[in-house]
Amino acid sequence: MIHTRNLTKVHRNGGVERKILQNVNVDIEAGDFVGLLGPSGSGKSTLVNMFGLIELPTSGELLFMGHDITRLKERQRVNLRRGSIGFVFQDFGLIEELSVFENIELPLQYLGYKRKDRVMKVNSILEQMSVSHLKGFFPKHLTGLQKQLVALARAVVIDPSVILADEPTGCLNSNEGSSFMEVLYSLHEKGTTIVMATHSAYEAQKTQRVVQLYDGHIITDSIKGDL
Amino acid sequence: MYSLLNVLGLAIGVTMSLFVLLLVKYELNFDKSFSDSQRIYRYTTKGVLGNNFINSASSPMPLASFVSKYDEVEEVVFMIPGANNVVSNGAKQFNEDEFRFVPFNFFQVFDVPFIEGDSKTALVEPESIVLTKKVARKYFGDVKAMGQTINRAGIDYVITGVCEDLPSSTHFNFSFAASISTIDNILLKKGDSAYVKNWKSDWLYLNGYTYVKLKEGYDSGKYEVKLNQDKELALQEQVAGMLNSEIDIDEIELNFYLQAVTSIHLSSHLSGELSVNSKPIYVKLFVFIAVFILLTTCVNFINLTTAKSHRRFKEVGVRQLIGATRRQLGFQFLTEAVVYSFGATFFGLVLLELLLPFLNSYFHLNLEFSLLSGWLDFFWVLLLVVVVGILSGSFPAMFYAGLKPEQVMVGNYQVKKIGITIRGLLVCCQVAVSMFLLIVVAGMWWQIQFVKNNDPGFAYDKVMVIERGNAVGEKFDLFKEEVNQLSGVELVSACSSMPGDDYFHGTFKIESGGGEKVVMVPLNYVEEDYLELLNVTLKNGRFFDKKNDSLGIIINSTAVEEYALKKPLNQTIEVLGNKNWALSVVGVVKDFHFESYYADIRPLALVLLGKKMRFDYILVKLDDDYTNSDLGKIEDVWSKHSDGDPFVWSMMKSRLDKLYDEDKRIVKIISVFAILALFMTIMGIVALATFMMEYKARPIGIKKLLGAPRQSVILQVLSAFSVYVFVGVVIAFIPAFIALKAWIASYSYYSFIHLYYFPLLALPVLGLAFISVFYQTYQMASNGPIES
Repeated sequence: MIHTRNLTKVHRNGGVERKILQNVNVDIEAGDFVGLLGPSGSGKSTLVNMFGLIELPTSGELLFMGHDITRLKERQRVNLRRGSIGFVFQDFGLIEELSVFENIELPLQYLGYKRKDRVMKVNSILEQMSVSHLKGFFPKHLTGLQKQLVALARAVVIDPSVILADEPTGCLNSNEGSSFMEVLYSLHEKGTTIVMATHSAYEAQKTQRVVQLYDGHIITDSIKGDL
Repeated sequence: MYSLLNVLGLAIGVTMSLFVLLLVKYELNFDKSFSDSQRIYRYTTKGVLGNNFINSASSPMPLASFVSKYDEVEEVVFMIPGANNVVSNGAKQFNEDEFRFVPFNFFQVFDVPFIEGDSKTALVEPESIVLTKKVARKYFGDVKAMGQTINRAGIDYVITGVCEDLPSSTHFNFSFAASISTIDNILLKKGDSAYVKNWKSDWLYLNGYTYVKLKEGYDSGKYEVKLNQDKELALQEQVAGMLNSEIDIDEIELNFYLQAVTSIHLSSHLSGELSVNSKPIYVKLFVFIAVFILLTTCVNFINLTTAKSHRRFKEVGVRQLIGATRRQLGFQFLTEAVVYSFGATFFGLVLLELLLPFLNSYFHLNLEFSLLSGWLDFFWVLLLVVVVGILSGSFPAMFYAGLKPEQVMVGNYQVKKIGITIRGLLVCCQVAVSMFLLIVVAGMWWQIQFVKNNDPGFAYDKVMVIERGNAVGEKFDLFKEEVNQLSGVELVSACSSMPGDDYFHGTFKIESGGGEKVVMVPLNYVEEDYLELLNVTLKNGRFFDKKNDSLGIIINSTAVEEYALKKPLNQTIEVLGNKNWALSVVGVVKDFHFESYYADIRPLALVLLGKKMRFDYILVKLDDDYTNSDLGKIEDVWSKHSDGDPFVWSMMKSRLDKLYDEDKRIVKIISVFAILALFMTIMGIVALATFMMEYKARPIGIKKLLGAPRQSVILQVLSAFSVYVFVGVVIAFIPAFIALKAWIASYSYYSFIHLYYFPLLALPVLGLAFISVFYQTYQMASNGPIES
């Protein structure tokens, strides 16, 4: 599903160059649950951004669902992204002015779903996430876990090919974090592909496969049980 | 709360710009209420008579019958304004100065809707009259006026029609339109039929106003040329006869020019205008103010919307990540702005509806706004909503839609420096316009104060002016004697014209520089004590002595200079065409402003009022200790000698002030908008400061972490935007100077505001700018590094 070959990302600021990722080679297949593990500055968020078609590599190759990302125009990348990638952020990324229902409905609007279908899909996902009772609430009235579940619901509602989660438990306490991870497992068990960036080895261990990054290099890539 | 403030700012801006646009519409729509206004013209008279230039809104009566023969002319109307006189319906009597004598076809040209009567036949018969609705109610209350009679100067007029009041946006007004055939009866009271014939056929007597409605498709320019060629023949006979071939005929030349009625209000400033007209510069200024307020409102909206941009960065990023395209984001922000604009316009309209009566009364205006009754108004408001929405929404839309998702993902919310520069330049323009308006307004008030306080060359303080003095007629001497004995009274006199009036012009033959000249001189018939009462300075000779000076004349210094009179005293000045009237100069007075400060001081002739001569005003000089009861006693004497005519009086000072009412009214309006513009500019500065503080929050936080003192932080923020404020202030100076020069050019006598006031006026602007942002800056500088 996602394949990289010698993926390199360099940030240039004035005359100074900083290598964020160097020669990253990784293959993620449909149904994988991959944990990107690494300390702050290791390049995992940049890698997630590139998987999410947000940033482009400086050199190397990135294939997303068979498309060479470096050859796509921005508009093509947006079209590809909006139907196939769900995002979950550390700080939830909910729009404060919209209710829970409206937050989840938003990507469906951008995809051009009719109102009737949107309502049906949103209600269904709310039920699936066990947060139906929150649909009229606004983000500021929710707990951290509830917010992240709503964010996850918004990511899942479009039936994405992959969910990219960047430190999704970073703003949750340990109990909430565990609960959220349970939901991710159950999604994975149903066949959803998930890539999760984390600095926590504990959480990474709970994924199916851990790719460990350090200073922009992949230092290990191991299936569960290898670590 | 922040959004509410933003919408409120937008609403106030929309209200004010709508108000100014209404004002512009009002100014531009003068005389357009008549169906064929585009085909109606007024004749103006331009010419030379000896040394005098004639440039008048009025024209002679024979012109009307002369032009009626042309194919181009559909209708011609000659209107004679009646003098201020008493009109009565039994015991109800009032002084009226809006009495007009008009021909029967008057309402075919000026189609004022009729409430009663037939507009085509109402004025066919002599001594028939049409009243306006307001006047009909004034004299007859709820009783039907049609068919009843009113009396003026001993003539009973039958009311044959009642029409709607004329819109205030008309260059002339009337309360009474009487049939012009009545004037024969009036003139016959003063002279014989030859006198009437002469009065009506005199080409050199500009005794009324000629209007013409041209047929459709005719070129007014070609017609005007043809008329001026043809009229020579008609004029030549009279001119030659008048001059008795003593003086070359070339010295008298009259030309008649067409003036579109719709252009009179803004561009006509001739002698004998029927109302005080406006100036095109005011319309330009109003349009400028309206556009400025609207743009400022939009700029403030942009700055305030994007000032707290970090709050929306995340939202924009999230929307982009879940699939929003740039176009969708742009559309979203544009839609938001249009919705805001719609809400603000709605508030603005409600506000305008509520404020309009107050604004009308404060500015002495008569503006009307009807959103629902006129599709055109509705269309313009709708257009305004869209324009404001697009103007104010396009920048935020581009701003947010232009963000890249990776900026959001990596938390890089930094605004580019170009964004700050653009905002700064916009605020710089706001400051410049505010400063411009402030200087212009200050300069205008400076001139208004000058005309108010400058010595016109005569004492007008505590001079009471009684209108229609002629009502006491031959009993004037008695009236004068009795009033002079009252406490509080210093002196009593009378005259035919007041300073600021349109003077009657006498035509004289005068020995000048070795030859004879024919001159037209403003002429005032005055009573013996007139010059003493007004404390006019005598330069040579003496004031009038009524026993010996029935053929005496007093002239002013300008007359002496202009006519090159080396020894003016005892010089003979002959009334043209009447050798029996050879007047002798008994005195020369120092120049005084017998006209407004708009006009140069011209030669002036003062002639002693004869026993049976008509005069319009009685002047009563009051002493410092006069009381209201003294005024009551003057009224008692008046009632005794005037057969109960209304006692209408005013102080000369307030009459003189009225000469500048139009300018004062406009300056008042511009002042209010200058203050409003300043307020909006301050809002813009606050928005810019807010934005800059957001922009600089991170580096300031770091500096504070490193121990930067509060004052250094304050200085950094203030200096960042002060450059825009300073530049704005400075670039306003030259345009303000030019605009003021253009405005003040309408005055012949003026005082230009001292140039050092320009930078002085900048002080309050700079002060307000700094005060308004200091609190925010101080708060930011006082915050801890983490909060920053």
